[in-house]
Amino acid sequence: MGSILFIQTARPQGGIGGKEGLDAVLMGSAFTDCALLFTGDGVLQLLRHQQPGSMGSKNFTLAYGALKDYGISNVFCCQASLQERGLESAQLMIDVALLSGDEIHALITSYDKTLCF
Amino acid sequence: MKFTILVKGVPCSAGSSLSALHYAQAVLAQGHEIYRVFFYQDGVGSANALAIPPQDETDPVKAWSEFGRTSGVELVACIASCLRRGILDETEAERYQKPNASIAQGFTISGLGQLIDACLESDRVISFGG
Repeated sequence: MGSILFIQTARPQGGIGGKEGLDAVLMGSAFTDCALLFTGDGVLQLLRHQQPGSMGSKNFTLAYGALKDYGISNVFCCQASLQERGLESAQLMIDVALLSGDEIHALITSYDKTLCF
Repeated sequence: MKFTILVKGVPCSAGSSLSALHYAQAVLAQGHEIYRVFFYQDGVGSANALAIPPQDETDPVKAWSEFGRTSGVELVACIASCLRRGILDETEAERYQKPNASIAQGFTISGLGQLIDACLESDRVISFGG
């Protein structure tokens, strides 16, 4: 069985790329060993207290609280992407491992396949 | 080597659909195998039989249909992505009481599990667009 790393790069609102990436990782977890990396604007998906309902959107990010129930325990976040956006890990809704650029490189090479959303 | 091609970009405004097609043709020309082409997110637009590009442009939908017919490679479009974007086969059009189907010849609509299966069964997964 191969392992798959899913990379979330889309902002949580103004598009459904993040939701469709989440759908893919949840489906992947039913088949094989999956990990999740948030980078670029994707880190914004992890912010607490999002209220997209006022814009007529559903808050799909609530599902991140259930990743463990899907057997997804390897969740990573790009440290530089957080810093560039003036954020810190305490503002995120779940525990994630913060990675440097070199560590992200090592992470990507350690998985058999990578799917980027 | 066994490849899976993942198409995520919209065909009418991004070059990714035709790039993916050219890549797929090159893969076969080099003697490799394609396990599946999976269309996800805006990529399902490549399966829209109702799209009409200008006459002097390549029609990506027709080109993919032709590729599927001549190569026998499976062309699968994600059902959730398709429903959102109005790409329906006869079954879905009937189920949701829509006036007609809109999926192009040679494509099938199926679940995201087909993408994961393809990832696990292929040596390489190459993504285009998105």
